[in-house]
Amino acid sequence: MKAESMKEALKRMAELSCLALSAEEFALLEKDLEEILAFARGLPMTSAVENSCEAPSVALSALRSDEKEACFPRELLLTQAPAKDESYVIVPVMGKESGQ
Amino acid sequence: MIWQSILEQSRALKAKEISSVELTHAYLTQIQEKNRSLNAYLTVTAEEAMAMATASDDRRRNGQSLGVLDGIPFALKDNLCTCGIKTTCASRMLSQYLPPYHATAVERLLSAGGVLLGKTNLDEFGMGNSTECSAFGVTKNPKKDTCVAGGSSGGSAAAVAAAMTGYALGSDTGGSVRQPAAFCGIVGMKPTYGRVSRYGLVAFASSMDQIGPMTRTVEENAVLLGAISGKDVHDMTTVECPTEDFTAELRQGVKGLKIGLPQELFGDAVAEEVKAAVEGMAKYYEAMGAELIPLSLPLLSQAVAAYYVISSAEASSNLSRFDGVRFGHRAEGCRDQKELFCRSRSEGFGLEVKRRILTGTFVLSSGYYEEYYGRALAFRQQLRAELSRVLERCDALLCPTTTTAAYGIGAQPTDSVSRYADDLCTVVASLSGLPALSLPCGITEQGLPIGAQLIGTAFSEKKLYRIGFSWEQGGGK
Repeated sequence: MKAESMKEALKRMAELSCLALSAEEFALLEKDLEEILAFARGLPMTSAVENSCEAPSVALSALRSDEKEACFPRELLLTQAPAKDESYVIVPVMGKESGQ
Repeated sequence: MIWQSILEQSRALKAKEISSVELTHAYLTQIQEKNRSLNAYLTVTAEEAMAMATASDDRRRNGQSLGVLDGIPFALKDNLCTCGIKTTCASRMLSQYLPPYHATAVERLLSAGGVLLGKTNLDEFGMGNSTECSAFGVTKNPKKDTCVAGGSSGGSAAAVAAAMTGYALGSDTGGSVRQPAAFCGIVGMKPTYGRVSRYGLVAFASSMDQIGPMTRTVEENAVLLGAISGKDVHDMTTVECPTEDFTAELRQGVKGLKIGLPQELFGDAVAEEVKAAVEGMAKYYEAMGAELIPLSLPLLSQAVAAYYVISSAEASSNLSRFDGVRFGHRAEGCRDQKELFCRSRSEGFGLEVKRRILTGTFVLSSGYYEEYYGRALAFRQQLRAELSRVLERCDALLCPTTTTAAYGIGAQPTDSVSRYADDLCTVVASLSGLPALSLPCGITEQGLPIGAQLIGTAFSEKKLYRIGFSWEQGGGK
């Protein structure tokens, strides 16, 4: 991957990840990401993998029947919210910067 | 009394030679003396601990003791949720977070009468192998304070090694229980995936995360695994297993067992002192009647790459919940939601976490998914198959836990790939979901502990404890 396209890719990844990187972080992570991805490209390309793994010989119960359970009280969860009124978490208006 | 095993402490409590209040007070005193220099604990719950100890003594006095763990103090890695007690994940993002519930493993220890001393340091969200990625400073190794304690469960390992707790829980995604256990000279178990509920464990890489006990001896570790394991309706990956006594076969010895030695983990990447110590352990087993089987696992050399692709992908997804809205750090003065998300996350996460999120987002993104993530998943399946084949021929694999003993603080390579390569010996069990036990097997010339690792088939923890106990009672004594 060329240096330029890695720069572009990192910008896109930061956008997708909702991370605002400082110039210093960007430079460091650009180099790191390039190295990490080169390392990962060393993995063998395997098109078809024989499924030889066996599930544990014990009963799995992932699909348990639905049971009605009380959820956490609203007041309790609101104690951890960074900004709130009596009943709700407060967040800034969506898309305000673009005038939507 | 703080250096006694929890089994000896339990006997002394039962015989009324000591009280839980006295024992808890002794540990709190040790924490007060040692924590300033070691930085093993992020939060000490002294008041709560004394109240729990008093309640335990009352139960004992009334003939209502809850069993062997009743009144015994313990510590928890700070990524395990504790109701009303800070759970920071060593991150600025959660520096003030008070969970509204206990993790299931925590609940089980508290229900057994355990006394919570506090929460221990880790690499931020479990991402790292030295605690140098903690937002609250590095934990020093009790054996040599210029060295790291390992990670990410370095705080738990150091606390156990320095008798700042009777035992601790850690979590292991790519080696985070076993590597610090090896660096600090204690015993650490990563159970089979599905053995212990992860409900209330702040998720890093959900297909590999497991909670594991950290202790000074094998027997204590076996007792603790029994206490925390079992089906949990809150974690659908937990498996319905019959209740097991993991100590039942401890004294059966290793005669007749077959122990595999994967040659790739005794190669140039491993320090000579480490290799020699693990080979010495293998010779002990041979002398005790076990059969040693040298074998080859050619895929091992690429396991670290697969681990970092998969774990980063899962981390990028798991950590998307931290957006500054419902809990955690929120940036001040944001004009809209996008700015709120970006600035809260950028201010809240440290560099290593950002690195993993970005890597994970990249390998999952359109155009790259098959090249990286798909390839890593296929590799993982191949590795599992290879391990299954190998473990048909032997009862357990024996190998080093780490490539070196504990290294100096700040001495890790600066490039990520070299740092990640340190996980060579531990990621195999993580990717395959198999149980792995790390236990001390020697000491370097500098006086630093060396750890050996036993890997078994799924749900074979009892056998691993048996093999580990044999060494501890014989060769390792």
